[in-house]
Amino acid sequence: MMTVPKDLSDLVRHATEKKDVYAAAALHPWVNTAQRRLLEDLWGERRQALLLAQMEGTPATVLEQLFALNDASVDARLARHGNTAPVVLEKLFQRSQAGAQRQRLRRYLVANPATPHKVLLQWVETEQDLDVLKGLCANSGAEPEVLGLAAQRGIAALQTLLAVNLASNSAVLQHLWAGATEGIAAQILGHPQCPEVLLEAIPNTVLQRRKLAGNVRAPSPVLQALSTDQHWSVRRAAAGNAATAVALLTALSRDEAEAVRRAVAMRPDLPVTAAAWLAQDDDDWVRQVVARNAITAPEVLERLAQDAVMEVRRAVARNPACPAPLVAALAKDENEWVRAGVAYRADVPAQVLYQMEAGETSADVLSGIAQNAAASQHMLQRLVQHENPDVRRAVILNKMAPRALLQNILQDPYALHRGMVLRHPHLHDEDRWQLHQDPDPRVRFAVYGYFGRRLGMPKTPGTII
Amino acid sequence: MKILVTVKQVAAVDDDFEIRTDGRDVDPDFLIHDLNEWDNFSLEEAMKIKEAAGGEVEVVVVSVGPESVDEELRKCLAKGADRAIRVWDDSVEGSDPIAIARIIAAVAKNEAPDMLFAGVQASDHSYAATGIATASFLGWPHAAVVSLLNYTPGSKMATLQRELEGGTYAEVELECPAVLTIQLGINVPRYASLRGIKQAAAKPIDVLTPSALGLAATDVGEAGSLSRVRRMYVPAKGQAELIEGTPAEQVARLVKIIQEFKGV
Repeated sequence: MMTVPKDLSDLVRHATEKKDVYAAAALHPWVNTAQRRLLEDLWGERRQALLLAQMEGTPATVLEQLFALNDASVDARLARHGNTAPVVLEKLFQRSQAGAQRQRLRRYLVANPATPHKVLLQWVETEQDLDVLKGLCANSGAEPEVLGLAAQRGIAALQTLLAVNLASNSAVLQHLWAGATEGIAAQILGHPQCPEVLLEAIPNTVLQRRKLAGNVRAPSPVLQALSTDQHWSVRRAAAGNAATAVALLTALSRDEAEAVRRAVAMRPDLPVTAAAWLAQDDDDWVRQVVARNAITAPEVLERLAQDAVMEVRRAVARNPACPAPLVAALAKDENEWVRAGVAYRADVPAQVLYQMEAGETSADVLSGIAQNAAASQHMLQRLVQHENPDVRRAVILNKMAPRALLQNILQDPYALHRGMVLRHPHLHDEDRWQLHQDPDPRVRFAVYGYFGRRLGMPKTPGTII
Repeated sequence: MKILVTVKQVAAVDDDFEIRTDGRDVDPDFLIHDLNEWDNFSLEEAMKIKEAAGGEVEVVVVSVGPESVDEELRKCLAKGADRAIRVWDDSVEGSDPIAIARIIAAVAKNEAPDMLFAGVQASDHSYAATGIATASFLGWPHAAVVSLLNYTPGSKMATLQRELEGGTYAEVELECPAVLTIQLGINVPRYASLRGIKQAAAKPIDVLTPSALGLAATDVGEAGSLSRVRRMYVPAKGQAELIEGTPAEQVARLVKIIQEFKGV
């Protein structure tokens, strides 16, 4: 039995004794300055610095330390990394004022959503490199002030990016509207921040009407008009718009275009009578969508459960409102994909699951059973040893899986499984610590990260580690 | 009965990397190493034969490379290979596939296997030459791009399927011993168990030098090679069209391009 580390010093000792760069990186945010220095010695080589600067999940404190190396290639990776702190990005900006890699660094920095507002502000009015400006205009973390200044530069190549960027506000979009191409105008009409005044008129082009019909802020009279538009794509957008009045849905459910009926069949506020009508549609995709809709009446679902098309029957099996007798019947369906739909239901009775598992060979069905909280320990005992990795992985996802079964996963050949099982609440720390010397670096990173948080995070009631 | 499986530690790069100062390779600081993908399938094919024979078959993996290659050889041992051999000294530096094949052939002469499996190619340099060149040095029959194999240990003949162009296959009979280059998808490679990995960590790896195999200095390295990389570079961009515009404009342009290609 391995002894679980009692404190951070113990963890640091383990990481340094093993010269484990991944363990060191995972622990770095949680330890004191002296301990950090010990850990930092482990990634002294450039190769390791490059690796950590690229690795997903590298903590911000490690990235900040890597900045001190003043290596152009490391800097480029830091500028792109999602965990690099704004303060480091600002320092990278200062560094980007000179040097051979200047433009490359700038392109990465302007596209990073965490780059501070004041840094972007310094660039937006004077930058001449079009690629840098494009990165800035596509940055979803940029503030409207920056995007507005970019819009005012009147560079055609930037207009589209600004119209698409969800961070653009109504003032930016209003500015873009004047002189916008058809495509840009359509994008503005579909934007969540589209100026209200633009939503009130019905545009001339199909593309613009389609984008407007999909905007949940479009006024009711506009949506009403668009729901009878000549072009099916506009009517489809209106049918899928949650703001379209329920009163219009019955008419849309009888639309000549399949695409419109498919969109309306999906709506959670679909009138029951419309659902019954759509359940008889010639298009099996329409029937499939209505079979998945929770508002569909039980007697309609019963009929759809007999459908010749497998996808329709599966949709009934996945419908949260599917009555219990129908669930039990679909559990015996000839098609494994339909049976799998049943196996994944949270409300499937244990007895039904038991019957399903007996003699079942489909990995899809067995995976559904394995992740189901109603699965018995006997079933899970068999499934945790299954040769198919998908089935074993499903056991890890079962919140009711007992510790004794999960311990089997600690020896699983798939590193992904060993990394996943660490997060299961039924596992004990003694179990987790068994993986601290795992051959896979991602698993060790996860183990040390877990214990670093566990021992380093201030204790507050209700904290989930 | 013995099967020799050649394996290689290959290198991969991320999208940003630097070329070495001599311009002939990528800066090693930017390389990430792993076992060549094809070699997983070669080893699995050997393991399948070993397991079907009930343990009378010895599977020996061999690689040419520096100490870092031991990591890949241990992966093979963890999956069930019986022994591992690595050949290296400074004279091997700069070897092309022909020189490497000469070294592997020398190992094969020492080991006298009944079969030699190699991957069709290595994912980094993609020469697809080492296996077949080894067969040439040994004077053995060979088959490339093998996608199905029927072979009973001890048999003088093997029947196999070769993957050809246009979705066609050739069924081939081959005298043994032979060299086969194994194609991806011939089997489902196993993952090493944790127990296997721990046991492999303690297993010895035989490290040999070219001279110990009877090779002269002129047989290996640049002196023993028939080709030499003059430079490695990233070609200038500009051959592709970046479709710009709103999503709707991009789709419209894409449709137009497709129509142009189809001649609509």
